[in-house]
Amino acid sequence: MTLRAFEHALSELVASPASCLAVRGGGDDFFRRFDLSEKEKKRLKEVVWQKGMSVSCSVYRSNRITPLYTMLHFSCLLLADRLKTEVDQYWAISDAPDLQFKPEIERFGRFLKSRIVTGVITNPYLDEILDYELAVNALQFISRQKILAQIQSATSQPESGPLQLNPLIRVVRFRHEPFELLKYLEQEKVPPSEVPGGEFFIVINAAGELIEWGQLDGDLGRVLLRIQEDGICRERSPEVMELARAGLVVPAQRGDDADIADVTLLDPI
Amino acid sequence: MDRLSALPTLGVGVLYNPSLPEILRAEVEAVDYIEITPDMFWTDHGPGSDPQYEELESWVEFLDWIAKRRPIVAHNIGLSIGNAGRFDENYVRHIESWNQRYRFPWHSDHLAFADVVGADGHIRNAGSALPVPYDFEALDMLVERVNRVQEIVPVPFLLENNVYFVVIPDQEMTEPQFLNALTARTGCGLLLDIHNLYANARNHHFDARDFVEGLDLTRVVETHIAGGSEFAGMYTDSHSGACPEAVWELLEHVVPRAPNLRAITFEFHDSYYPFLGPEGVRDQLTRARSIFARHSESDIDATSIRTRAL
Repeated sequence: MTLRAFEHALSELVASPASCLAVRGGGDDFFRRFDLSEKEKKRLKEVVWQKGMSVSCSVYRSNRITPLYTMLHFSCLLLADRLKTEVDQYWAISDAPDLQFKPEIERFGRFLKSRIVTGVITNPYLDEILDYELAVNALQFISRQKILAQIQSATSQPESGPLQLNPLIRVVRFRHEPFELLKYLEQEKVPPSEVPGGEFFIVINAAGELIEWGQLDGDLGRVLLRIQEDGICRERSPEVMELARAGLVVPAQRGDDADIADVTLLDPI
Repeated sequence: MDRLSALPTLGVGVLYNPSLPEILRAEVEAVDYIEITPDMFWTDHGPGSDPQYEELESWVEFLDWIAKRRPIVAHNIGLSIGNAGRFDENYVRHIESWNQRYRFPWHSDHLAFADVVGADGHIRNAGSALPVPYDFEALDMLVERVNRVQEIVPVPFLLENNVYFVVIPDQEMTEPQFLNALTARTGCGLLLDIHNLYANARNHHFDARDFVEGLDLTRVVETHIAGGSEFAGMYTDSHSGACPEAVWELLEHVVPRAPNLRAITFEFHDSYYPFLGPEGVRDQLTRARSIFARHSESDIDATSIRTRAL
């Protein structure tokens, strides 16, 4: 079983420059965690002195940050100089690295949310931009054709049952003028501090070939956001009916078609 | 006849990346085949999930479009065949299901471990493809696994020589000895990544031609060519655009010596496409075709060695 332990130890060193330095320092603490032969310990003690070890550590960090920087690009722009600190903190507590884009993005999104809620991150725009990017990403990974077929089938059924958010739709509440914010970010610029505030609702729609977004009236936006958060809607208010006519809410699925409901909710963050 | 020598000659292709759909939709004839990394076309939710592999619909739609027009070769990254803690037969079976769909002439993966199993039994991604020690213990493990892959997926299986930045000290075999032993004991083929070899030779100060001389080149079915870049005092396989001259020279050296070579794949990272452009991609493919045609005794379809405009 020592090959397994050797690989585990080598991967831990590549993931942790601090561990490399500790091994260089001559201590044996690092090795106590692994069932290594003397030959393997000797190999690792030599490896940490090689120039390639620091390159391996950097490649590891580059590969791990790629999905985050690619898919949460605007959020990373807003974090600016703070990005390194937050990524280091995230990696320190995230002990299950995953290079699969979708789960890694969702995990990092949850981490940033917790940092915003606890006041560690105070950027005024990050919360809404992060919601926006997580919503766009959630839609990029769904099976559009399958859901369209399910919606088609569902809308041919009686309208008396509960409703849900159209699975190809996400709604995001902004606290600042979204067009302004996104305009700056699309130009790779950090928005200035004077972007007008308020309450704005953006609907992101993946029903077509391309993901599009537009702004929704405040009353309708609040109702749609509540349906998104609750997962199900039984009321038939004028706003709900208007949202249904616009195709933003659809009959909820049950039984064999339950997978439509599974993708309705925003992934928890 | 050896099953590798019976393989069809594909010609010159490109490893699929997100910058390619526009080019390929405009002129798919620019390439003789497309190599894909199947793992990019799905999200793996992990063992025990149902479904474990959730396909990315828009990506698969485009793949289906390509598959009607060009052969598809699979170059996997998810097997992590060198991970001593786990061998994922489900993954191999999933590759076989894709082989049934797309009829790969062969498929390949990396001679490395990309994840590990911790003492707690949890799987951790290693963040990159790390080298296995060229020892008999690793060889015995890999022989068993390669044989299992070949039982499950009936088309030839190739392993790619890895790029490595650290050299594991005191190994029991050299890399060519290890590769030769592995191919001899299993019958598998090799994907000789010329750029990886160039990077290793440059970083670790050995002669790439000595490596080639020591390798059983009858096992080489495919080569990769690519560009790279300097980083922190070493040369990395960043796939950052055009191939350096030394890679072309090495390709020129390998092609006439590899009688079962069937394909040359150009790899580039999509983030470098704005710098490379369609002209740049075309130039790389044209040059690779020229070398392949000049040295190869294989009967490459004449249409596949014409210079094509992207």
